[in-house]
Amino acid sequence: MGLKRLLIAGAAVVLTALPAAAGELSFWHAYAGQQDKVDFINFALDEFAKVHPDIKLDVVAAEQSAYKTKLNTAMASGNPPDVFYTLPGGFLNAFVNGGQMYALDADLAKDGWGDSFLESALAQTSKDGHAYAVPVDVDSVVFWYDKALFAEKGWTVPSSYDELLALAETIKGEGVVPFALGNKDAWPATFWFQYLEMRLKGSGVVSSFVNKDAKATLGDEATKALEHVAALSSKGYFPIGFNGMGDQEANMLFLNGQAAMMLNGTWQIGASADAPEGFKLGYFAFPTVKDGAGDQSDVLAGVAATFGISQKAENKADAVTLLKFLTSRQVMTKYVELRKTMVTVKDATTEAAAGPVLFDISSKLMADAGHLDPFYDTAMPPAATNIYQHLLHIAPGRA
Amino acid sequence: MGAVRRWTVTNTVVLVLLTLHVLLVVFPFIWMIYSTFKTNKEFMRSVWSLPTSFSLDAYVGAWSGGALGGYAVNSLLIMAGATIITVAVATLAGYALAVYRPRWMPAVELGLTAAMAIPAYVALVPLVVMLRGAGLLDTHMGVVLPTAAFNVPVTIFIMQAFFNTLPRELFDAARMDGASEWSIFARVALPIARPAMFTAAIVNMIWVWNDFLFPVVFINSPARKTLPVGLTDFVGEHITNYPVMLAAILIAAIAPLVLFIFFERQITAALLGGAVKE
Repeated sequence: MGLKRLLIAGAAVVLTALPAAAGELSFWHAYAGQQDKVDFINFALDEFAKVHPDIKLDVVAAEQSAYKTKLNTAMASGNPPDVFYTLPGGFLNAFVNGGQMYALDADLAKDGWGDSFLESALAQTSKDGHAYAVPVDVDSVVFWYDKALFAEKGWTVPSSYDELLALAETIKGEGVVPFALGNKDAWPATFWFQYLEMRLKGSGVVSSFVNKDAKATLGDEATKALEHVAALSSKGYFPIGFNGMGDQEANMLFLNGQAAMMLNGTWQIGASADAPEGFKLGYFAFPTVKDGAGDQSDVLAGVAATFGISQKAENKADAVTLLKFLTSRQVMTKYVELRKTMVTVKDATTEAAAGPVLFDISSKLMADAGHLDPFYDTAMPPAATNIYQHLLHIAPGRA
Repeated sequence: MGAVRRWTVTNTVVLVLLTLHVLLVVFPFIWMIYSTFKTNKEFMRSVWSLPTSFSLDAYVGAWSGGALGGYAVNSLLIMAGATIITVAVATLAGYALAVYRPRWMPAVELGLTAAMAIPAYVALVPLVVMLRGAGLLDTHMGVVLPTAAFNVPVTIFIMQAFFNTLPRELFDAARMDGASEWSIFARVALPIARPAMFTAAIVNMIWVWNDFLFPVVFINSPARKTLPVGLTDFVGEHITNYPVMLAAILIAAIAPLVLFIFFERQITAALLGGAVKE
């Protein structure tokens, strides 16, 4: 009897042993693993501590892929952090559907906080008219090429899809791989499919489907787009064995001039930092497709990261203060400067911080785009993403 | 004294094949070592080429950036804790399963087999809830206990298989001499079981050392991270500094390497344990 009572008492003590420390805000993020990410978060948190010494943060960081497992487990076990980094689209929507995200509408309406974001970006973190997170950065996908190599060989930048194919044939004839592609992780080839779909049919198909428009369909254009991608593969325009090659290995082919072009996100700027001497990074928009029904100026550009607040957070006022600080123009300009990534806060992607190439993309390509279409694979619920990516993994096969 | 060894064609073929095999196995390590002396720029230009100059920057970067020493200590502590608990429990249970055979014993074995079939991913959420309740989230013990729990069933079967090979007369004789059940276990079975326990311990050490899932989910503080989790600090989403990452992996491999050199005899003995009757 004595032992039993002791055990029960012990269990009771243990179960009540962990009250949340008062005035402390838990903050989880995935700015780890890459020097530029670490530099950014150190800057932001140091500055925050200076401005708000009264708000104590309990910070947890993990590298992207590990972070997803960690956050999903914490959310599912009913122990979410107060403020946290999350991916937009399907990943965020799973938490929204579970009623775990705090709606930021009232806070965004105050002091012009909401107006400081690009509208199209905020739309990507909203569901059914409510904003459940604030967007941080935007990646857009363009064709990258080495200006020096193109000048040396006399190749010119194509403006139509037919010109692109003709250029690819010329490049292949000179013994260079036309397009670098490392599709081991199945997402790089999705850019080819999505851009062709956007050009042939138009933007917004997957977004409206996710927002419960049952009539939204990829249509016959999807078949056509897949056929185009398969044709590129069977003509040998991609590297040999691209389905087993990682994105970073494909990048090596590109940087060393073994491949001439690469359809990839704006992170390519950072990934080209260690290019050999003489390499000069240039970009051009995905070319127009003849008789395509879509707006030919549309750009594939998606919010890459967001911050949200848990519905369970005890001190929502402090949590909002932290979010406002992180998305302030001062912090976001530093983000651009350190990470060479466009941000969703208006006027924060300055020329000085972004550098010429990124600023050009931000101020011309993105500004002139009819629509910005978010990445299909992140917009979809995780299960659908799996199927979609595997489809693209098989479709361009034959290599 | 012995027969003169003759140089036959078979010998030559075997030797050539073995040399090729050794080259294949050893080359990745050699490649790793010389790649760490390159800069990332050199690495990007050509993956296979030798470094043009000798630079230890990658090691400096790996050591200063990663707090690898601390991670190694955490890994060692968790490995030691989980292995000791697992082997202790499994030795006792394996002995009981082999020596005492009440009628309900098959049910216990079935339960253990079923437990082995549960993937760790499924248990993550309930484990986090339990660990939080017990105040063990973000502690070494919080990783040690679930890890031990997951490794116990297989280890029990390893130990049971060993105890099954012992002749029952051994225990009966001790019993007739008036030894208590406990002293039969402690003074007869345990000394013979040492090689088997060593095998079980080594297998467990390798599992725990390489485990990624439990430490990444249960540990939050950077100061308590284990090596596999800490090494992800060097992997970027789109950009990776390969020489620094390779240097970090080499540094991380030192601890198991020392362990192996230290215990080499026992390890090979354990792996060969029971292979030959003397």
